[in-house]
Amino acid sequence: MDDLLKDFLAESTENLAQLDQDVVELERDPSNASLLNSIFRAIHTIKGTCGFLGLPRLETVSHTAESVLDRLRTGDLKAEPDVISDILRAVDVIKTILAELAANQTEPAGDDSLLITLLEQWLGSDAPRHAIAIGPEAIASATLELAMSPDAFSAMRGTSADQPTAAPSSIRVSVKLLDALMNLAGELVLSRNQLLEMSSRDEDSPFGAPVQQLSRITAELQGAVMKTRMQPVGSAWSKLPRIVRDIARETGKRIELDMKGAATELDRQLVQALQDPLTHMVRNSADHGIESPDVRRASGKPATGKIVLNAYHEAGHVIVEVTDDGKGINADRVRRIAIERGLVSKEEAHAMTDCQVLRFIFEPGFSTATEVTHISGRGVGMDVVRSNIERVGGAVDLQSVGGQGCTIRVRLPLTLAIVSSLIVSARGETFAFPQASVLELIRLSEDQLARFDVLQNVRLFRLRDDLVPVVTLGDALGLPADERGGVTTLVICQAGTARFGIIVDDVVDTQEIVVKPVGRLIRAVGCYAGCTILGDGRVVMIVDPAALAGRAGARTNAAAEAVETVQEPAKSPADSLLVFGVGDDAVQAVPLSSVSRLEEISSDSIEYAGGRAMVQYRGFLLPLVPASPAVTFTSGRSNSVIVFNEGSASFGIAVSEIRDIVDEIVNLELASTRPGVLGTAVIAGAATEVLDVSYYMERARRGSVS
Amino acid sequence: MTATLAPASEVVTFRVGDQWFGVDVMDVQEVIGHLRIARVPLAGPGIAGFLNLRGQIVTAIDVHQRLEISRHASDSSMNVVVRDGDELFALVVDEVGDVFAVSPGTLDPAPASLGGAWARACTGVVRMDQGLLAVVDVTRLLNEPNTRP
Repeated sequence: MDDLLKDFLAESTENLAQLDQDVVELERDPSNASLLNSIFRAIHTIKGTCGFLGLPRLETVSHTAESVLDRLRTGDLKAEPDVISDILRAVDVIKTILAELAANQTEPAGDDSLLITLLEQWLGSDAPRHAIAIGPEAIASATLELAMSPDAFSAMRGTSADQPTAAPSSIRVSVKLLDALMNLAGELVLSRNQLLEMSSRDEDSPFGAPVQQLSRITAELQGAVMKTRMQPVGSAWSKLPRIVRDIARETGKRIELDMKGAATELDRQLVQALQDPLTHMVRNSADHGIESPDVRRASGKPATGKIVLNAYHEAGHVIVEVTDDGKGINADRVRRIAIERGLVSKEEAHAMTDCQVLRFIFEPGFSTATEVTHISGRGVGMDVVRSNIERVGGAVDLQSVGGQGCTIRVRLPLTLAIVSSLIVSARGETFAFPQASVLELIRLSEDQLARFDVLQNVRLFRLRDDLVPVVTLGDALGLPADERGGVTTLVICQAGTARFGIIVDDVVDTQEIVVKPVGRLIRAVGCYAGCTILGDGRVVMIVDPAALAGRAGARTNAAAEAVETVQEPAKSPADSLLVFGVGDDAVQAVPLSSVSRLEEISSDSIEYAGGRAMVQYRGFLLPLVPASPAVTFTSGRSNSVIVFNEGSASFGIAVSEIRDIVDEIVNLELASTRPGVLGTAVIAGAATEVLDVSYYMERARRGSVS
Repeated sequence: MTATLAPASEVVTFRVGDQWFGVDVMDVQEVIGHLRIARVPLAGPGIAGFLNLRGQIVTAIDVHQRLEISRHASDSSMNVVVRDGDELFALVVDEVGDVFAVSPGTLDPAPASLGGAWARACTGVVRMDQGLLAVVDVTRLLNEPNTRP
């Protein structure tokens, strides 16, 4: 019985994802019979099986929905938005019940009578009220479908047979098994590499030819296994039509969602990684990008806004673009805010192109300032979008013309498991760099090495028109210096929009390597993207250039101040700090990495419960803790609040004013006597108390519980 | 989580410096001889690096460093491969001994005199003719704070 239920759940979940899309599609194209048939079939299958499994609630809902669909099918009823909304409601209930079933294996208790009434109004007074009992014939018909040959099956689907979605023959294989296969194929590649290396040492070896043959087969096998993990990018899109439709209905906008290239395939892991950022981007476009029909007409655009999703292959990468023809983002506005927020100096900002300026949207918390309400939401979470994409080795960029819309372009590698890499050596150790982040290699003579420009202890390389900060791999990794002189190589890397150089002793090779995750004890180091096993069996670390440069930039400063950061806990190397004032002239700071958002909250919206201050924030209560007793909520004024997220819990620390964001090595010079303060350090030339966020978290939590 | 041994369980014994230790045999996957360890720059103290166990990456733990035991020049190295959660770790030790049955009756609580990493990792001691056998909990040994980078 358990297995039966499991199969039922797996199948239904798959059907439902398609269902959402189909129902929305139906609204646009009410006469599409094959679409209606496919929706009817999906609901019918659920109904049929749940009668068999003894799930009365699910059965009633799906039965009633099926009856409505049947009337649509026979043409008694037209597919109007209201009917569709009710059907979608039924689909939602079915989803909820299925989710509950998956979690607890029992049908949740609940009352669907309202929904049933809603649905039954479409059946009319003379609608035949079928008995709900599902007889053996329903089960028989379900079994019949499975027993049919693929050809007969697609013939039965009629016109839908020519759609690419109808797979002629396929079986369901668990993801776990595919992952295991992938791992084994990876191992095989490694063994093959070892064999190749051995046989290449001896030209007369009788193993030469068979090893070559083995090598070829291994490569093919690996390719085939990789393909099994490929999924059409469209599977990350299936929820989007529904989301866009709902937003459109809620906001009274007219939005058309056009999806191109849904069949473009990429690794399952990447499809998953893409899902949330994509949902976020499309929601942003629908909610904030597309204007209301009136506004659109007034500015000479068609009343219906358009969001286009486009996926395609380009040079070994998959590109996914989200384009809308909404109001776009005003680059000058962004430029001004970036200057106000101290992200960039005035001169720099004006020297930047609009395109460069727009990238500030991806800075954490960029649009949280109150002045940018017209584009807030645009920036909300865009930093998360970027970090999610970059985590899987992708990149994201944005283009917008004010008034004409906005295009966000996501670039993803095809797969995560195998990457081409540059094998380099530094101080006698070997490392791998992901090829994707390497822009170019430059050979440096000893003279050139000695003649770098230095600015604030960071070495800079003149790369054509650009100044590129440079770090030495060996130094950055804390490897003991050696006496090696002579020619070295500068690896120019790019991460996000930043370019930097990493000096290595030598470039040894380029290789396709199998990425293996690093253990949890090493993960915390943060500058490795994984590790791999080379042909000779050696384990080699894959350097994450961006993380390394971030860390090394800090280290270069540290060296000047003769601070050895290696042995110290992870907290002490230079951190970005958010500096703020608390009452009078006191200054405090928290690590920027712990900050989730900055908000301005009016004192009048602060509520008190159990002697604790809190504010309604995005639908939940956000406990507020003053950073120091000197911070008070004066009526009629607004307060700066730093919002922190810890798991699912959030809380805010109220401060007098936000001052600055500073990159500094925190050297706690005076230990603290006050609870909640880690100590005092000199930050940006002023004595600053560094707060212990966890202490405030604890206070906020206890406050909200008691 | 209590880390005491199940009644009448067995421990794999190994020597680090002059001290013999035991870990629950159920935590041990295998014992292997010396393998080349790839150093991981910036990894915290107590982490020797990675080793390649038939294509699987295993984090090697330097038990000398972890438990602050000085090293003899003559020591050869062995690896006790243990499983913690989904991950494999190799305890790099000097010598591996017998598997030894420990019943609740013969396991004494860890003496209160233990300090630091020893106090956190040691779950009990067994009095043997040659000296004391310190029974350690693998999870606690691995999660020693000083090994976090």
